[in-house]
Amino acid sequence: MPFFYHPDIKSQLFHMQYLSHGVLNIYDFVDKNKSNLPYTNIYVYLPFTYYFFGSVDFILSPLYPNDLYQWLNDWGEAQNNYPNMIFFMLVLKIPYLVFDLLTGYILYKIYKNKKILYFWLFNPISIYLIYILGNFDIIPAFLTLLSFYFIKNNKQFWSYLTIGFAIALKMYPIMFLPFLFFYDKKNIFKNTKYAVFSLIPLILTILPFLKQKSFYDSFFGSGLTQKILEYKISGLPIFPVLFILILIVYYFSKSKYKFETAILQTFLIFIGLVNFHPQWIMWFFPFIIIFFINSKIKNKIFFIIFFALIFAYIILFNDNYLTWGHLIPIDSNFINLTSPYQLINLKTSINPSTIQKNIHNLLLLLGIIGSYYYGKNN
Amino acid sequence: MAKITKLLISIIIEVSFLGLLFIILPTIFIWERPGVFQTSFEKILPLDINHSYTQSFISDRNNLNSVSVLLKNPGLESRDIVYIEIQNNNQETLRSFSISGRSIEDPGWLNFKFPPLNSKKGDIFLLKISSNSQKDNLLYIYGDPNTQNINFKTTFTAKNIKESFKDNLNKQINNFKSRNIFYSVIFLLLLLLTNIFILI
Repeated sequence: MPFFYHPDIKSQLFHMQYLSHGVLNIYDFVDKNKSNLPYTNIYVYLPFTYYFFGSVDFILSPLYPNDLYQWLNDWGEAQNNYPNMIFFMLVLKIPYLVFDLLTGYILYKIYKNKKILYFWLFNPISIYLIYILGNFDIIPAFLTLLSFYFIKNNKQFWSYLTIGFAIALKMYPIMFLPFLFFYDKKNIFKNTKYAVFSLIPLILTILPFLKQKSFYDSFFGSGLTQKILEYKISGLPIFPVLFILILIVYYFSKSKYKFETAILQTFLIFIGLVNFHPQWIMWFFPFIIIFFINSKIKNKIFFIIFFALIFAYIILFNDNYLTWGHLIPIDSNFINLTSPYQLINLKTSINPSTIQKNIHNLLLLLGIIGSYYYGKNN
Repeated sequence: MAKITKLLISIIIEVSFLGLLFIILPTIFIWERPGVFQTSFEKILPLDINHSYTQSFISDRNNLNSVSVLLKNPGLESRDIVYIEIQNNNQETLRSFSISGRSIEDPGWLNFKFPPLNSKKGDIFLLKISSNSQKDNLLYIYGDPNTQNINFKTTFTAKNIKESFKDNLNKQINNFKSRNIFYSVIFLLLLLLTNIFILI
């Protein structure tokens, strides 16, 4: 937990710290003070994310080492030379630990299987996504899982409200909404009544910013929508088409694991069709581990190959913070080591981006085959 | 298995993991480390046939293996040559390089890497920068107009695994000393308590 770093945890907290300074409109604040701030990137998250993590920052601040704020505002050459970085990471990841444990607990409550709890807590992928990448996606992922738990137990109001908070934190859980809505076809009327709650937290928190240009500039800068629509055949974006297809199959499915199957299918095609950020895997991960646990050896091999390819895809980014850079808390000189991308560039005539693109195409092929296979067998 | 044995085993595993992270990985992979540097000057000084610079520095590690200087080629126009020499205290040239303005950014650090010198900590070096540029104001270097000191960075490298191990150990000891002792104690206690809690 404390030995690994990725700059996302710093850039997120950089903006969130201003809530403790009394800044309520972060979009406007960043827009007006851009030239004076040590970190010049815009704030790309939703208002609720700012209030939530700004409050977490305020609560955790008594635990911070003295030089944490100095580090947070240092974006110069010395930014990685803080011996206390280990403790910064330890304190800043406490909320992730809490939500990691809660996710494990909810998985246990859903599947009544201790194996899934232990698998969730100790598998290298969750550890990588939560503690090495250190992104906050574990929180909306937990809320989405909780929402699924509620809908399974016929608690529609709580389900929609919970996913509503997840959507207000990060937009992506909106993808899961149709699957919740059609989970129990007998309760469509009840679902229609409560579905509105899934959008209330989002609407309430963005309402004060709707007339602000700086809000739109920030919000549309994150790029998920563009990335989802990127892959096209004859001008037709493929991901939405396949997503609708999965939803139709889901609607008619009678499988016990139909929700998880649909999420797995979405995950498999998402990875192949979208230029994804590694932390986005977390959105789907809690829902797909059941297939790994319950599957036969050949299916396990499929998952292992699929994730090994994802790993290869990630380390071929021209970004040393996704490889050696994770070890900066141990020694800041790790960031100067040759990344796999640089190594391929130096030692071969092959363009590493081409290898990465080929891996992505292979992931797409495996994703489509896997999606079809799991759709057929569940 | 007795709980105390389990506790001991898990502590051994964790200590091994920490050893891997803090000792083995850096020793194997980090051979080159930054040394003495000066990066605080923000003013530009002309670099041409009439303006050359000599910067002395005392090495803070063994085996110098690279120097970098901060140059500026406005509009990337200049194609003139920049010469860099590293001399010892007796002004004997140890390494020399030349580079075309084509490779100089607006501005950018220019790094010269070379096979490590057999130098020791405390050795004095002279870094000489000159150019064949005839025209004034085509190439610049960042420095202090009064003292003529310039911005520079150096790196030093271990020559074998033993030196790398020693360098890494020094680095970890220095880091440990610079860390907040209160947090170090709390962290170790947390580690121990987590182990006991899991076993119970």
